[in-house]
Amino acid sequence: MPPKSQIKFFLQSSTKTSSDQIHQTQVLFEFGPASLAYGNNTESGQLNTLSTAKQADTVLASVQEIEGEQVPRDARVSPEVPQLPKEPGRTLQIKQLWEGTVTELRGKTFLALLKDKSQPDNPAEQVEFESVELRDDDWALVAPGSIFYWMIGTERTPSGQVRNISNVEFSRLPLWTRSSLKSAAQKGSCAEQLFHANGNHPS
Amino acid sequence: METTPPRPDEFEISLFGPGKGECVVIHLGNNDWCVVDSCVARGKTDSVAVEYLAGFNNDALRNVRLVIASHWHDDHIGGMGSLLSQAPNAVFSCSVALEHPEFLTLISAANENVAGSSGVEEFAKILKVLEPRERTTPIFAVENRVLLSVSDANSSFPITLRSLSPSDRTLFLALSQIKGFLPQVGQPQRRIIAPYPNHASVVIWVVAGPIRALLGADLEHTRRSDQGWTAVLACHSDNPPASFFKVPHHGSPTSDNADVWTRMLDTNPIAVLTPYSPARLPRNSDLKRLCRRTASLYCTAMGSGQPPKRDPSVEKAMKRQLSERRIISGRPGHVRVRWSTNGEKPVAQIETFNGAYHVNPAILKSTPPD
Repeated sequence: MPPKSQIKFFLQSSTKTSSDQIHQTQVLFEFGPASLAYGNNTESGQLNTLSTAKQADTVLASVQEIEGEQVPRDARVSPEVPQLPKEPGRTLQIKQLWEGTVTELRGKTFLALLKDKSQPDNPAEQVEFESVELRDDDWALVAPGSIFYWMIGTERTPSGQVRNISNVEFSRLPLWTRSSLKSAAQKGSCAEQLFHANGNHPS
Repeated sequence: METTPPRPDEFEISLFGPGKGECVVIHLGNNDWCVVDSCVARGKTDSVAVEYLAGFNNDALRNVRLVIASHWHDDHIGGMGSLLSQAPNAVFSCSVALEHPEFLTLISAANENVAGSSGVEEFAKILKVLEPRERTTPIFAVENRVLLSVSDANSSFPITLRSLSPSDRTLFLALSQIKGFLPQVGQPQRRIIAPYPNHASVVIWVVAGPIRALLGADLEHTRRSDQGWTAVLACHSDNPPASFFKVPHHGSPTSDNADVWTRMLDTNPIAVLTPYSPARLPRNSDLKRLCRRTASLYCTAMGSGQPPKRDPSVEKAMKRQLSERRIISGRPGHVRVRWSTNGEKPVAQIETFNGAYHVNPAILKSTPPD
């Protein structure tokens, strides 16, 4: 088990999500079914960029939705991807990545549904997190329906030190706007018309 | 998957589960079918009903007359969109609670939501399948409504499916629940998590010639006279009692009502249930309780199976951070009951496949408590 200080170091190195960071993220991470790697041992050009991120289903969405604007329909939300300093010799092997959805809060613990992003054929699992290291501001995001990513991996430092990393990051989800809710209500109304098109109604 | 179709004069009820949930397939006679709820086996994309009916190689899917969604929980509706798309002549039926604008807005909101959603997402797929069809209006199930009745000269035996729920009161509660899920301006676009208990679940009473069957969906017992199983008992008047019971809500204690067993069911009815691992149902105590009610209890599977083996360091990290871990979707077992409607007294032929089993009370006695 890695010391807490090491985990905190890792968490603190993450930065806010923004569209500017997409490119940084792309060159840092390579997603795939096998072990995942990032770091400057590999030239950024050799790593897959947007397409590999899509494979992992984690293309970043702009979370800054302006009132009145629609969130793009094909947008996906990813967590704030942790970034390590670009330092020669530093590597991270991601052994496991899950996408989680919180289903129930139980005090300081929570139940979640985990979908395996490393091996998508694996069945989904329902788990209860007993101990989870989260940044203080991430705790505010923990609610039924909120989305997070859980990564387990091994980091090798330039000095050759190897440490295990387990990192839970919650997504900053876009907010509902008046216009998006109005659009939902209009579509609901269309569905209602569809349902009653044949005039069948319970007596 | 079993590929021997029933004879035209055989009435059949097959229960599958757990995929992610359960599915009931009913032979209405003459290769006509009805499907209640849907689940998808681990690693598959189609409903188990599609796999089962396609396996007969006799156009059974084209002869699906009715597809019923007993409620909108994930574990009862998975793959229903694909089932409906492959059953072009099927009429869709669902709880009347789901025709209300609140629920339809919730479906649309789930589609707008960048985070995606769960049970409501499958409902959106169902709407898309229905849209181009000639008949788009579902048959809305309410207390005491005939959903399907076949009694023409060509049918091998007359058959009627009647919904016994939701009652007016449970409908009101369900709508209140749904309203609570409608998103508000400024809220994060979180996924929609289905609520418990489920108030709007559709219980079905099947009359097939001389045979009666009760399909309990996920309806729970609330002790209120106008809700849940008490309301069903109040509205039900048919005789004789049912010889087949789809045990509600995976055998949970909250769905158990002693009066249902004495007033609606035969002595020692064939009772079948499916496990639901996320809620750890049925527990040993549930199986013991149900074994006291009937000697003919069947379960479609032991559970959803073992979690996949991962790298030891991953397993270690999981063990350190998680206190519970359960597989959601399994490989469904199958309990099949067929009755020939030819003779004077139909005899049930019960078969179990793919890990389904007869629950032996003697074995349960020797097992430790939950």
